[in-house]
Amino acid sequence: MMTGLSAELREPYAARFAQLMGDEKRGWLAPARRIAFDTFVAQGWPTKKQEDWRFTDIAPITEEPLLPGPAPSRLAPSDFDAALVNLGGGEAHRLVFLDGRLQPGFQPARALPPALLVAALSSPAAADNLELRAQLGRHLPTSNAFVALNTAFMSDGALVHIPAGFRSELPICLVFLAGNAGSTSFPRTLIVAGPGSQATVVEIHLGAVGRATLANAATEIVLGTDAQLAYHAIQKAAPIGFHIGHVAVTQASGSTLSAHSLALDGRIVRNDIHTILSGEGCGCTLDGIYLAAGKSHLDNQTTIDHCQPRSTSREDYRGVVDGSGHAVFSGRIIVRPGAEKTDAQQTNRNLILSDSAQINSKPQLEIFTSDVKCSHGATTGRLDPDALFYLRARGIGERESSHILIRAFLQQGLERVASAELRTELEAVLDHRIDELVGEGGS
Amino acid sequence: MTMLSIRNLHAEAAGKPILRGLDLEIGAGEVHAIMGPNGSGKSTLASVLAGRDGYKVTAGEVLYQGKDLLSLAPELRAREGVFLGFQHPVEIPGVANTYFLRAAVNAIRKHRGEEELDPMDFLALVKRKAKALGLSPDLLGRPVNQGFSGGEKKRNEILQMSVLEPRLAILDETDSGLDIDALREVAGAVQGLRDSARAIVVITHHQRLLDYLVPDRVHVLSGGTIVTSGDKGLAIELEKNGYAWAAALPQEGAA
Repeated sequence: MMTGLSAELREPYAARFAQLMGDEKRGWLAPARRIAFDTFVAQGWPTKKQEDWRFTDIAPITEEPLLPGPAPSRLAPSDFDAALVNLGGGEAHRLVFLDGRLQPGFQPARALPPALLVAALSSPAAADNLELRAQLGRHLPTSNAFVALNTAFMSDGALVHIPAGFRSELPICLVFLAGNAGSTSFPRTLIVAGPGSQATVVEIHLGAVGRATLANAATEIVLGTDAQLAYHAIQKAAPIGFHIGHVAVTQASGSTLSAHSLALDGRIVRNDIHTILSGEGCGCTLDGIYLAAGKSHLDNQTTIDHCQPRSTSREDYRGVVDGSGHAVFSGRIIVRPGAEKTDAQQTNRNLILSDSAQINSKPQLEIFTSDVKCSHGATTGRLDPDALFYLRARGIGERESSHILIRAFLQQGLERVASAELRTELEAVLDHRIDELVGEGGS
Repeated sequence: MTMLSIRNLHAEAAGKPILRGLDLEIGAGEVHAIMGPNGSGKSTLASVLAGRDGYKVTAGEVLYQGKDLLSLAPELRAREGVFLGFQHPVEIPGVANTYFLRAAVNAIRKHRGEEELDPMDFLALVKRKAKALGLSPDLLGRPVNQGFSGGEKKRNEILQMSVLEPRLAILDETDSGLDIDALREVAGAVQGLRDSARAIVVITHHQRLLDYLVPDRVHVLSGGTIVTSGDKGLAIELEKNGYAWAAALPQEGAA
């Protein structure tokens, strides 16, 4: 159902787009931008009448035009949560973007191995890399208004190219900071993992503390034959901030994706991840943790599309919903004709801490072939009162007891994180967030 | 010194009266056994003393070291030195046994104004105590009680008791589900924790436990009140004659 953008809404977008195209030095990006912009205008915004948007009202986001700011905010990366900005450790290959602009001081601290490319979309290295240019925009859906707008307005995106057979020992960390309230940042990422390569990429999206920032992010991941990629997406905006993100993955035969999402806060947060297992014998793990408190609305939409035989997918999304928080999980698993011996398991577990919190969990299994193993399960429950009493009867205070049980529940969602260092860091991030939820203090 | 003084305690669960005027005095250094048939109120007594939700005290008072126990939150009772050995120890997935126990020890130490224990020192202490109890060190790193056998769960309770060093321990059917060898070991471990400054209340169905952990006093609970009390000989008579016999005895203090 395409309603298109009203003439009134179209005008500010068109003016800003014309200005941007006039400034654009990268001729190779112009056609893609033009097509995306026209698509966006023709489609307009999704509404709650569309199945994918049933539980998420984006009106608070879209009533004003989503335009890139004229200049980055005056904030510096040091104004953001240091533990999250520096996730992945001091040795990691790190790019930091603030309101869409690469921060020069945060380019990789050490020289990259010559074969590995971690660069901004605006860099000469990007313009010279025909393979990356060919992949950019190929994997994202054209029908999604947010994605189309990202392609039209993206600025300094991140490009990561892991060459065939290359093993990156250090994590590659892409940090996108949104500091401006009243304008939109458009983070863009392309990760191409060559055949037989191995790497860990951590993508971090942060909104400035106390500001109603809005990020509209799009990420493409292309896994070559037998490539192995651990991909982490971590998101935290202020309780009045917004984040919309779409991740599109295409996997070739024998490749393995281990994706982990951590959605920590935001007024409205929407995370889509769509993986297409286009080859045979792929492995795909989509795990996620979310915490919706206060008035936070967190919507996770996942799709795993099995196209060829003998692929395995595992999915474990779990979250805590408190206050008037609202969490949405949609887990779609498609098994196409011919995708025999598919083995897919999905679980969604929710812990509800208050009477006014809400959760919508929606599994969707679309199976078009026989000889497959598919299962799904969803649970929603409260903290176990017997376990709470057991802890308290040993002297542990009520809040600390709650913290211990919430952490235990969420921590099981980190079990498949292969890097022990990263797991420890993520546990600390979770601890900090749980403290914000249940309140700190020894009593 | 009187450790615990229960006076005319009345309590109900789900609107149903269970304890109906219970009186009990326990001095420091003493071991008391409370015996009685199913439904007599033994576990309700343990739950009320530990502060579990779902029980309502309708009359009477409980003084612990001279202070009102019932007004304290469960964690404060524990920090003041009250320990409940659970009849059904709770499984807590995702929380390692040692992590749990260290959180408990440190909460109690903090309450007393003591420094937190160094993690390595703590681990050494727990390993030593576990070994003395015949508890496999593997169980220390596993989630609390998860996948433990019945006997392992009960030993884990006694391990917690030996690490937390309570002033008043209430052991609720710690002997249930134990085979004869495990029973002897667990009872021996509790016997080892007898101390002139510590009172222990053992709630049990069977006299067998008391062969290894000889009580100073035995009380028979029936219909929510103590119907008779005596020394260890009472437990042996009970085993011979049954609870109906004890319930028919003239009540202490009755005219």
